[in-house]
Amino acid sequence: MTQTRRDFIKSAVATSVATGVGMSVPGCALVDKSNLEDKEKWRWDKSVCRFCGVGCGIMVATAGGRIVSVKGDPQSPVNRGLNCIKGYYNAKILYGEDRLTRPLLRKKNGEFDKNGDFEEVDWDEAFDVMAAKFKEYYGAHGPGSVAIFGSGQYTIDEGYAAAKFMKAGVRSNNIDPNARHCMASAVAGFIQTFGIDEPAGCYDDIEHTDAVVSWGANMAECHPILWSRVTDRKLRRPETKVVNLSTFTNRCSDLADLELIFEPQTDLAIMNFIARHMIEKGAIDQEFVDKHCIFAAGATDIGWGLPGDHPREQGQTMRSKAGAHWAISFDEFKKALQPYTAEYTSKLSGVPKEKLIELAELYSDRDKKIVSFWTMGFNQHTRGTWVNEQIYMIHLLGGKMSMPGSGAFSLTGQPSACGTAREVGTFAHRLPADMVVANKGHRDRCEELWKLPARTLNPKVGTHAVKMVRSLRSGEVKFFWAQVTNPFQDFANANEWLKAAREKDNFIVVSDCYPTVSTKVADLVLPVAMIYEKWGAYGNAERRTQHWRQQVKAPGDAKADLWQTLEFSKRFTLAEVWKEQPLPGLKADGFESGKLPDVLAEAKSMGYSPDQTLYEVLFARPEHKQVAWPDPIANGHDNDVAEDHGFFVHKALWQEYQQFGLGNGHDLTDFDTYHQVRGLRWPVIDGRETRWRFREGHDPYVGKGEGVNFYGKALKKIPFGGPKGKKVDLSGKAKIFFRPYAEPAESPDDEFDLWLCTGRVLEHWHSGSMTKRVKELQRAVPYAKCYMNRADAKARGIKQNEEIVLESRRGEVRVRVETGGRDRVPKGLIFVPWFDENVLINKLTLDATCPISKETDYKKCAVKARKL
Amino acid sequence: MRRRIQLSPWLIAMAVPLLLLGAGGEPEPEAQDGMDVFFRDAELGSVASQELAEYPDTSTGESSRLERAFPDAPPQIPHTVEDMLPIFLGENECLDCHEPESAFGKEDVPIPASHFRRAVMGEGDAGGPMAWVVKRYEDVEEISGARYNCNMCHTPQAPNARISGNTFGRIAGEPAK
Repeated sequence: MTQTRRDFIKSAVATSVATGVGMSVPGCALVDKSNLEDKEKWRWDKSVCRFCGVGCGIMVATAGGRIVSVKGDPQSPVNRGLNCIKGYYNAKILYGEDRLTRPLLRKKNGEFDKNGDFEEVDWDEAFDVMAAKFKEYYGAHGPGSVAIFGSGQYTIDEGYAAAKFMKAGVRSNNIDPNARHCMASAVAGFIQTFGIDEPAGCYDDIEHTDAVVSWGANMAECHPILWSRVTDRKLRRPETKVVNLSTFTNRCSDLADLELIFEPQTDLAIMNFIARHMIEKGAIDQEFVDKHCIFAAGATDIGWGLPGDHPREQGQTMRSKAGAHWAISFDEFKKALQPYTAEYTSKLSGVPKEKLIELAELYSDRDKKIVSFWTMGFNQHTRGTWVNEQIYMIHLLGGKMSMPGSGAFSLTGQPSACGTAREVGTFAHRLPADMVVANKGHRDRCEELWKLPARTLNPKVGTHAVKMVRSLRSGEVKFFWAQVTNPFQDFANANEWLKAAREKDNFIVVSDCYPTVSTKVADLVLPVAMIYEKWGAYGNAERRTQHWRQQVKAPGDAKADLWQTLEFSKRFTLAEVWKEQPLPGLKADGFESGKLPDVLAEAKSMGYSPDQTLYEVLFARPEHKQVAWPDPIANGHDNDVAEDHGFFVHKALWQEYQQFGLGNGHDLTDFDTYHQVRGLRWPVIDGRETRWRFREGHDPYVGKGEGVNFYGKALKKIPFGGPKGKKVDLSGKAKIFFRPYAEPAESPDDEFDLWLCTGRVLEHWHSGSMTKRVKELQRAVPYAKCYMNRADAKARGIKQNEEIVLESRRGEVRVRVETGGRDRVPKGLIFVPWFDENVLINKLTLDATCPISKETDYKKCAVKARKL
Repeated sequence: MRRRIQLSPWLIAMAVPLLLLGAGGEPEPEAQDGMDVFFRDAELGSVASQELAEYPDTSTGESSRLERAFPDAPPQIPHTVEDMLPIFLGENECLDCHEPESAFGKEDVPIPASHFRRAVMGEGDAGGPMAWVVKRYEDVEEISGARYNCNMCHTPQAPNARISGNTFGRIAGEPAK
């Protein structure tokens, strides 16, 4: 029998594994027995968990250049010595046998070929081809044709370098993170309501509160350590109320005093019912509202974020102005709430009237402190921005905001969705510290701090994530680089983008640590150093910035994402990028239509030469190189990026980045301090962290006698009475929005008769690329299951554990059915987690988004289930 | 309705995905749509069907401990948990056997002392950055509420689950596990 293709591939793989796991690779030697057994020889150091947005502290033990143990950091104020199951197994995520250790390029006859086979190449060849393809597209089509899809799992320095390379270097705003799928609606809610991003409160609210209300979240599985703090509060103080609102019963319900299972999308109506009830019962904190708030409303016919030619979008006149809003009177606000009676809301939501009233009474209790938590149920919603604003509506009406134990608290999903994606601004419209590309003052400030000629920065908002893959399909985006994420598993309507990646004229680069769905459709795969193989920092959901040191070396040729961005930047000269650039659609004051100006003359007057590289101008300026490596703060720890570049890159970039936030509400402190503490919650002023923002006595930005000051600056001058009304100044105030109920983008019908909701499980992280390599996690949950109501299963003749086909208008998957277990779904709805690449559930999901935030609704689409 | 897709050279070339799934002798499933060949074509050694996970049905008294991955790793559950979950407020069947006081606990796996401690929080010491910190730990009589949800860390394991190799803890000179 001849050798089959498969045999060949198997043998090739075996070779790469042998070299990959390092029998002969320095820094990757397996553990010496004496090291493993002699715990006295272990080196312990503080670090942070790789996974969710909670941001737990861990202690990492290394011996012989390998991680040998992980435990919860007893000094961490977040998790206080405890981890969830994933947290402990951080110890093993580096050591999957199939770690990527060499760049892989598709080649045929020794040359890059999109239809070629993957071959190992060295970094020089990888970057040569990558830069050539970048320049081919960039030269022909300009900065709009290249894109980076980044991550809420970027370390702060990685995100900062990637954003600076794109925005200041190649002058493209086409950088957007997977955090777009995760908390963009939360951001839009914060900016529209408070004028500044990120939560007012902190996790310590849990230990101060009388009631915890979880909306559209499964904290018990997705923020387990926070749920352990809620559980502790409830057990120690049983009168603490716990309420779970969800579209199905999950583990949070097991602890709850009250559970409301509602029909998808009707959270919008439930909120309005609560507000109406509060007004009716006189539960408004009138003094707080009069002093600190204003009422607002906005555009309604805003569509569902589907492409413009989609039938659903026709007649949606405000699609392009979805964020438009204006101030209204309290009477108008009250009138708008009138339809949301208990009867109407109960009928729409399927929640019994008594339960609705019980919840509304809880929010109406003037003596009770309440904290509301939410995550993807709100954010991944075609009215995600609205529903975020509605929870602030309830808390602001009751005066239950930014005080210990009371507040509406937006939880994030990823470990640095806040610290990197949001604070650094790795979004298509953002710059660091809440600044935006469309604002001239903000661009000026960034050009000054980055030492760029005027008008280097591009004023046109780039392509957001969903538009990025749609642009791959249309051919507008041709160079696509995924960093720290697995886009081809995580985008809704996945079949479309998998096809676009392979069939269009484009170049797909994927930097990752393991083979994933995305590396499978890549043209170039770049192996990365993982979290404990590099220095870094994350910012968690309570504004806590946490730094860590490198613990071990990366295997083979794997390199940190920061290293990759810096090395790639060496291949661009100013002459190539700072000349005039075509930018179709650009219209901005001070710019010629459709063009970015040539800024080389001014660059020259600033002392730059056209043949200088972006590396020299952006990352290795004299002031950067002054930050010396080695540094005593390392205390014996390696820093491979610093070694390669000859200076302490992370510290140099931190010092520069810190400047953006100082004095404008985003104050971070110095690099060394973070290495001595268990994180600090910003703003950090005079060495003190801030636990409750906007509140006198807690937040130094609030003056004496003010009590509360919602000092965020964005969107504080809005028209009154309608879109064309006279502008009013709302400085210092928050907005209480009226937002109506709106239909979902797609609902079950006769053919596709089930709701599909997707999400996470406790044991796996995101697309499973790391956690599926850990035996204990993989054996706990080996595959994604379809949670189905027994009645629905019976009606289709489907049995427990049976493998079935799920189908939507966009694709189909096979999956095993679970009719019991941890998630108990109501009739008419199924839940399928998305971690499993073999149950690629995003083939089924719909790429409808919140039209304001552009975040996808992963919680609602119509599917059918059938037997194999 | 279902169609097989012609394999193009680039598809066949994908060595990388094999590693996760191995090239097992699973029955060959039919490709379901254009993209399924990425993961499911038997020639690529990948499968769509996943073997039914079989969790132990060993009763609580009969099971033996599973090897821990490392000393600080949470032990995993070797016995059936049928009818023991969910854990409700005031109804935690794990505690019935594993509380140190219980008759079973002494000969089986009693919950360790680490679970009967809680952090005392407070303002950090003067001189350093000012923050809310862990000041010390105090012993508590009942299991710490933070550790009440046992299945946050401890879960049953399906030995037949498809797993990929991992070199954690492997000692130099020893053959791969």
